[in-house]
Amino acid sequence: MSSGASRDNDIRQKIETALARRKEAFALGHLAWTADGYTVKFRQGIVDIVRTAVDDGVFKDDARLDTMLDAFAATSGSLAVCRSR
Amino acid sequence: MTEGRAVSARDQSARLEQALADNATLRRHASSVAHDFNNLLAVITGYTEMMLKRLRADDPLRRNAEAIKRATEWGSALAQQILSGSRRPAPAPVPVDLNQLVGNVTRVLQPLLGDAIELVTRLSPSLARVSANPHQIGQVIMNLVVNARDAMPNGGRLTIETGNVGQAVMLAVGDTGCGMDDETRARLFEPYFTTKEPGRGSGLGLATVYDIVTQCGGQISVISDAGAGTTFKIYLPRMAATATAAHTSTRPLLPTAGADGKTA
Repeated sequence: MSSGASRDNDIRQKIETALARRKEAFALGHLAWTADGYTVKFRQGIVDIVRTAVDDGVFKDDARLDTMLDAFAATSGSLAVCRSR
Repeated sequence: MTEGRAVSARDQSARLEQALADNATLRRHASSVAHDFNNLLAVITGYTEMMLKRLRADDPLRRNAEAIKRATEWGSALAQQILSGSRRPAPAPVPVDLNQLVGNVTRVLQPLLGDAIELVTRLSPSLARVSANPHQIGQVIMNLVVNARDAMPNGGRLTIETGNVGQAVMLAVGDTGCGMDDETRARLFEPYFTTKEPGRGSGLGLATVYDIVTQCGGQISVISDAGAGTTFKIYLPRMAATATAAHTSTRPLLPTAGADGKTA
């Protein structure tokens, strides 16, 4: 059974691998396990996008992880549109 | 006619005296509540500190306990402020970094956003400082963030942004929630006006925001439409502008104040 720190490292690595595969412009900024689930923060320049209470099952299922990253990409994309206006 | 005027003046004087007496009673009552409230906060702080001593560094509950401790510290500062309001003037303003305050508030409120709300922060790295009471400005940010969260019961995006705009420092808090109709927008900063269900809102949050911002010499603009979300923008005089205000008193705080919506 893995400790909390090693479980967090595994999840961090999994997210970073997925980000590289998807060639996303944002990077993982912060990942923390709380009593309600994971808090995940992505960073792109001065923009931080945070989701809280993320179920750890998301990180065990590639399809769910992709869905979550799609949502972050959509937010990041919409902010890029705002900035370029 | 003259007698009529004299009666009217006496009436006015009596009304004024009554209003002053009511105000003094209200202050005494507020102080008494603040005092009891502060005692309760001391109990919560004590228990939280005991809890923190027992929780391991990697315990997932530790962040929650730290958030409770931080929130009670703010609550205590607020109670002190109410208590001191009836005794002495508010503490002198100090240079405040809004980005740092946004970080502190979001760390405390983040766990309360739930899994359906996405938090986006876009904080200017070269943000000028403002001269203010950090507890009061923290209260402003907290009220706006809680309002934005409550406006999105089915989830959405909460955006906090900072930036330098003309001679002001701007703080914007936006949501993608239900927005406001004309009537709500018109009564927004009215004390005790709330659209929240009984027991959920006191109707004092935005009235407090208004008081604090205007006391700091700032302005508020609101952009909102029913169904299209709401964004509050607070503009506070930046430190350099405050320091030189005596020499450049004709310089406007904003280049186009209120151009993007209603300005309070």
